[in-house]
Amino acid sequence: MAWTKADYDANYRTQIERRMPGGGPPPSAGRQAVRIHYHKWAIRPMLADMWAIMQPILNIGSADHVCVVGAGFGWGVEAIIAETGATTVGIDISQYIADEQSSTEEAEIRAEITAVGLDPDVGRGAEILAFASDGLPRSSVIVLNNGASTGPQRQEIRTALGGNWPSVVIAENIIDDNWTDVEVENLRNSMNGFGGTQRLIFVYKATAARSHQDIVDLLPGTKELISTDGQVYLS
Amino acid sequence: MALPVTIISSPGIAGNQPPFKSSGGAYYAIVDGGGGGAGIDAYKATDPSDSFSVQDAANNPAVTPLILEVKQRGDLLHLAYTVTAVFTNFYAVFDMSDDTWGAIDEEIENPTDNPILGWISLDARSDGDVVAVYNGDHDRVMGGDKQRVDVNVRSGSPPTWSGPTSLDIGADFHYGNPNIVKRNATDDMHILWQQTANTDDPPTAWLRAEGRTIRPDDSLSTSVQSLVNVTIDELVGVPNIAHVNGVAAGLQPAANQATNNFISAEEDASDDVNTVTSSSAGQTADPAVDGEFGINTIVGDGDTAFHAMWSGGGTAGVDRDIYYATSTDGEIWTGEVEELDGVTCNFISANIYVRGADTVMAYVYDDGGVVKYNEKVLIAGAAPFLPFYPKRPNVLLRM
Repeated sequence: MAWTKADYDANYRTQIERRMPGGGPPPSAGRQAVRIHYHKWAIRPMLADMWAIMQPILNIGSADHVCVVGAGFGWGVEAIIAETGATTVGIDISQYIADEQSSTEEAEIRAEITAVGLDPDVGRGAEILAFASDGLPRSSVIVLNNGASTGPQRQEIRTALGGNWPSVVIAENIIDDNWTDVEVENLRNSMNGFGGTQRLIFVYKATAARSHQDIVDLLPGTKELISTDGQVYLS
Repeated sequence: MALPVTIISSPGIAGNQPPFKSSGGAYYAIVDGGGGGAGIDAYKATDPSDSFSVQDAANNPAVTPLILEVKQRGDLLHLAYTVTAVFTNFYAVFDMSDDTWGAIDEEIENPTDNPILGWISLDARSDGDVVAVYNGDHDRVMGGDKQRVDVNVRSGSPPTWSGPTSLDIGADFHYGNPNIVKRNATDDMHILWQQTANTDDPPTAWLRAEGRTIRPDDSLSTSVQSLVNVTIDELVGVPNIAHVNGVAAGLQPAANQATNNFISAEEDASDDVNTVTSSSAGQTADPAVDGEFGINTIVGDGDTAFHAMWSGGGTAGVDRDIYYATSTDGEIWTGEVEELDGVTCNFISANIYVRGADTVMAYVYDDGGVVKYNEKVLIAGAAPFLPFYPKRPNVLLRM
């Protein structure tokens, strides 16, 4: 389940021009609109909204030590810190995330602008680049290239949390229909591998193939499940 | 001949295509030309209780529309239509002063990432600018395709389309079925659409209504959202909205509850939408539902009252007869009255004008695949409605 850039591109797409001054291209422009993918402008506010909805339900405490599994570039980690004040670290096994977390998004957004026939340094192309890219590194928090599946990996997480084992482990909406039941169980085992009494929270968006209750039923033991819109909370 | 009068033996098109009256006293209906690429046709009658005949058929929009809305400004009929399957949005105009088509198949937008559910609505300002709202490019969030709603303005000389601007705020929500209506007294236009946090892709239910106003300078007011209304649990679009005395409203059937629900928007002192409500109309109607779109119509009579007709009757609307109700505020409605029995109404769209000695609610409807014209007399003896009733104070609507 280690996503590549192509996986992120396939799962996230935002037509950005219609949300900026000037709007999308008219028919007379003879080109497609610019689309961005797993990029800060589109995703970070969405995760901030999601955590603002979920935190009053989950009540993660400021004294908690939180590990977010599948954290991507850590925008959900930022949101959890903002909502809870808890010491929080993200982990992700994607090499794309590991390779790009300290870089800016500019090169990727330039490529998207160029793909529709615009020059990212001139006119409308430059406006889109300035609107979509803040020129800062993607990650402003710690995201370890780590699956919490081995002892050394778990120790790395403990170190990142200031020598504390996580009291809350969150799978941040990473299970989709491509996951087998065994893989879901393995995820749960990794989250539960710290040996303590940490809360296990699954953020999950139900699909036709796998309901919220299906996930709960699949995983024995104590855990919590919350839908991305906060409408479903099972424990 | 007596009413009703058959216009054409072809089905009605989802959307809003009421009959219209020209300054010359003729009557018009925009209809499906009969399928097979025959396109959209304009039919005209000097006496709609007699017969209609097709106009300028050689120059019509030769497309098969999925959705069609038609609005009148002066003698111009402005059309916006979404073409089946590819969801390209087009514009055209029919001039009732000389019975000719113009701007045929002028592209508004061809969404690259097709909306799953197509929808389009438009209205025209007094200066001839046209504003279209529609289901646009969908975004993708966490692997799920998310419906979006956009607005696009036609202006300038020669007129061109501005390109899409988002009406919604995006994120992990679906939005759809936007409708637009111009205020009677100004060129401000109110836009109402539906939203859901339902995470199914595509969604299975609309849960809220949202609204904004596009002002004459093309700026948009802040988006306003209704509370979740549990009675609106169907993925059924509102066919059109009307504006009466500071309120814009539309009708959404909710088959599970066998009731009519209304979405409505109140405006503030600057004529912006500031309150949006989705609520039960308190009726016991059995509205029929045809797939993704309600079979109903709502029209304002100037600034006095809303008048609505819909397909319903029997259990869960299976009778598909035509029912009527009216409201002065879009909130409290009269009990439904069966207007036309023994029909199979698959589409209906209405307008209000004076014909002969009477003020009538004229309507075009699909009766079992045949489009017909009919009228309900609202005021016998040509007593017109007050054009601009004093503005009602803003009050929170009953939920």
